[in-house]
Amino acid sequence: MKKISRKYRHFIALFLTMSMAGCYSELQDLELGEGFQWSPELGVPLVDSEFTLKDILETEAAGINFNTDERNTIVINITEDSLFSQSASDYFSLNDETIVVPPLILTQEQIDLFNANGSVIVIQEVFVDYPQPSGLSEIVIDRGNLVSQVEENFPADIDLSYSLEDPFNNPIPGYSNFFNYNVGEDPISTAQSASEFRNINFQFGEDSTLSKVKVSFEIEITRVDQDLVFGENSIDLTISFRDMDYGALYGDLPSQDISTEENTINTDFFNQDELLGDIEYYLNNPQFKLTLKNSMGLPVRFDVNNFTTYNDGRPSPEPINSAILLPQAEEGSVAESETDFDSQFKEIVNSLPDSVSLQIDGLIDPNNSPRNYVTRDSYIQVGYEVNIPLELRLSGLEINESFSIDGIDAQDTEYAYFKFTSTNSLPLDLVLTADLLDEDSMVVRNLFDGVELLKGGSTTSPEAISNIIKLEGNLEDLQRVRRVGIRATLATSTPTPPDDFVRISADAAVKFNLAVQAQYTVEF
Amino acid sequence: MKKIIYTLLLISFSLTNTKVFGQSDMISYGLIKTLPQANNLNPAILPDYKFSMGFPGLSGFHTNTAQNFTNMAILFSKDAEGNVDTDNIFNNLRRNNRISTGNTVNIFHLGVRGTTSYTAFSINTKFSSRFSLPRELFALPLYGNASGQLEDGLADLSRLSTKTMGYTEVGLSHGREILAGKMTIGVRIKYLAGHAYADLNSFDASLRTFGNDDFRGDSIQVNSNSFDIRTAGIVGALVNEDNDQEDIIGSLLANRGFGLDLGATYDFTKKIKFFASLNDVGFIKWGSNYTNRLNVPEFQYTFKGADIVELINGEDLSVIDEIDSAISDLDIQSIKNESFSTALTAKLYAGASYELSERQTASAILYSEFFKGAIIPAFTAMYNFQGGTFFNFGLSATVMNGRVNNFGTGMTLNLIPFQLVLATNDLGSIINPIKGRGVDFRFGINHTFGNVNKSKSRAKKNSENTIDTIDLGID
Repeated sequence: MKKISRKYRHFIALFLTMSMAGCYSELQDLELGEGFQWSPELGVPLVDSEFTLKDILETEAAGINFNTDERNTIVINITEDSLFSQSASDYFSLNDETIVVPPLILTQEQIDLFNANGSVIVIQEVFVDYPQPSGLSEIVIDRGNLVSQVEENFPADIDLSYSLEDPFNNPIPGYSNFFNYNVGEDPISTAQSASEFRNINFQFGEDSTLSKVKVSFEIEITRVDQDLVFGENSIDLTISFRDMDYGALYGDLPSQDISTEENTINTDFFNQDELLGDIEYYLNNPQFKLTLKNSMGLPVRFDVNNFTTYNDGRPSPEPINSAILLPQAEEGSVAESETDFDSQFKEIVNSLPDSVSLQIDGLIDPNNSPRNYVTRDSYIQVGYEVNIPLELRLSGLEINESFSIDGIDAQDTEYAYFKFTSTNSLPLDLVLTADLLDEDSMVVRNLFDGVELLKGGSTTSPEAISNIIKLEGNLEDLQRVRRVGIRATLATSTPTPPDDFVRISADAAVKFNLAVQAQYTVEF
Repeated sequence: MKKIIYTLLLISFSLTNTKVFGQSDMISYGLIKTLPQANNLNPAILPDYKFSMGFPGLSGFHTNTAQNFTNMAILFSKDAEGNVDTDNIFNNLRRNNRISTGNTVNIFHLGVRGTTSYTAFSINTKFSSRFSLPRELFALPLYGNASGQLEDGLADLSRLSTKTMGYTEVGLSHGREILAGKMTIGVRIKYLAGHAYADLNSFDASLRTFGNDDFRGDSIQVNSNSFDIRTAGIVGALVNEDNDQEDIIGSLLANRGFGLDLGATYDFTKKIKFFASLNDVGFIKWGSNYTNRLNVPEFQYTFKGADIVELINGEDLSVIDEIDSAISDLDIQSIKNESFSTALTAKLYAGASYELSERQTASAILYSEFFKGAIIPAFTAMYNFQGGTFFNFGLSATVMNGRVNNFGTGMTLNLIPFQLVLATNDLGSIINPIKGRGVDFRFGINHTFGNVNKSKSRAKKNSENTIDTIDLGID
């Protein structure tokens, strides 16, 4: 046992010595790798969206409203209140008027008083008729400019002032001036003034006082070097009412023509450059309505003339002509009228017209009624409202688009997978082809080759689709990519009988997810 | 005997299938007859010296650093292109990758052997640290979240944990023979002064990338249950920014605790002996003045992508607001001055020895740690050659750290009046550092006097007229 033990110990000692010597010498040979290669595989979700068609339409179509009908179908609503709008002032106005105040001459008593005392004060009121505009029984002038011209020939100093009023004691700005007489000079003096007035009223009826302007003079005449002689001197005043805006006109207003030029509206929305294909569509219930408003105290008649549609440049054989009569409005209210053209509109829209043209004439007070009125705020307005419930068929809509990009640097990328997932409850199919193109429009890589991105489903049974684009292999050719070409084909899915169209409800949505998985290599 | 072998085989088999890890000091168990500090492993074992003493700085230290997932040969391996072979490094990782370090400095040791008893007083400063790093922690940054290295896209980080503790123990032990010398029992009572503590408690977080084998990346879910990061002692003081000298000193001394070691041996026959010890049953209460608990609340977030409708609308992406609010809502609380207690890592040694000859002994030792409610076992087969008190040699083979080739060796050499101690529990790492997985080394110088077996040796020498043993001990 002792011998074995010693032998064992010797063996262990020898073994340990050799092992340690060998292994420790290997320590010197240890050498770290020259570099470090890092190739992580990353998976990242990029897009998680759920949207209805209404969400998209509301975003993309400014000025268009989207409502729902009683079946929760999306209804596109386009409203234009003032396709045609004119105010009463476009047709009716007040002419400038001038009134001449009778010359103001001093009485003998006033002259005697002047000659005796060296001065005299004269206070006098004069009423002058305002001219009656043709056919009107009353005018309310909202504003205007008053121009006064005074001429006098007294060989004395004159301190003149006067004021004006309408028949209802509404003041009109007056005037005052001091006319200085220098001995030996010509005694004739003139002066002119202008001022703005507001809110005066004249009535031209049996009571003639209601159409007169009241002029109130106050004159102080002071001697300079001589006495006055009766009948040789006067003060002449001329007053002009100009640039007037009326507040209201009452009476027998004359008839007025309304005329617009012929309008041509291009409707070839589906023949733009990026939209190709043999499109067929059908809208089941499009609605078009003209809305007309009249706040004038006169009836108005509109004539829609030659509403014509054009297909491939050929006009429709039977243009539409229609007349719409708006009754006169009660004062302070607006008369409104609506006229539907649903059946015509459906026919027009579904015939895929290139353009439509129409011309609108009109006549204010077509029957020349004797008692009518207009106010400052009176207007006539023509608008329209289009409602298109999304009950439709669509096929052959092909959208071609391309985006410029300046190469894809993928030299460190081992692969990249893009996963598209959609769950669609819209009754729409979307098929996509996408290519990466070089500067000569040659295909570098095909991303999608007629891949069905959306498959028509319903709110009760939405359709789910998942596709993965795989970019792998030699990705250096992506450096040559200059454009991404996309061709998308959109169509409605097969209708469910008895309907021959699909109905897009407001709660039908697309849930769309996009994620990327990629591996890239970085060397340190 | 068959039952014992059968039991040991069962344990051995289970250990080879279990990735275990622990800080045992098996080789000291093999030197227990001559190494005074081995009494720390079992207070019921009575060293042969009548008197032993260790002085500060001389009586020894034991350092252990180990991990279970790599070695220099792996770290320096190269792939076909001469780069660092990360695949090889990663493929050698385990499900749980553990790093531990433990250092024990024997400040003072004094032992007195009576006829049937042994009483010792010792002061030891210990520092230990453990890190558990799940394989996914490396897989995620190295291979990415969509890699097949993550099973079903799940990066489960719940096994991430760490615990670091430093303390000084002042122990008084007493062991004595009973049952007419057939059995010894012993106990050590320890006063503990905690110096530093940090742990990451109940961390439970995961990152899952949903998908399948064809594509992964549909969505990413981050999930973390509430967890605490606790610090105490000087670490707590530094975290709380209590940096002045008074606080530093206070934090090192303000934490108290108690510990208990229990041990027993039983001479089943003349050749067969059973022994067992349960060590470090105790706790340290970390004083409230220098503690910090960083509570990270529950956090969950699933990222599915951005809303493209918002992009089309030119709006700000709501997903960014969601992430911002999820992070800003994360109310991480730093709670100071909250006293808490931590248990010591209890260790169980149990085994049997068989006396091959008068100087040679074979032992089988089962070692278990009780950590976080789990038992972390190791098994050691030990050969011991004892040349009296002059020379004691041990060689062990331990199944630990998930491998069966963890050898240890050690010896005590008595050079009058000093005893030199050299030992390692990881001989493989010393012999072959390229494939070594750690460092374990014990060194020390003790003063030992007297030998209780001297009279027996002399009697034997006289009766057989041999010189099998050389006793250089000093009475």
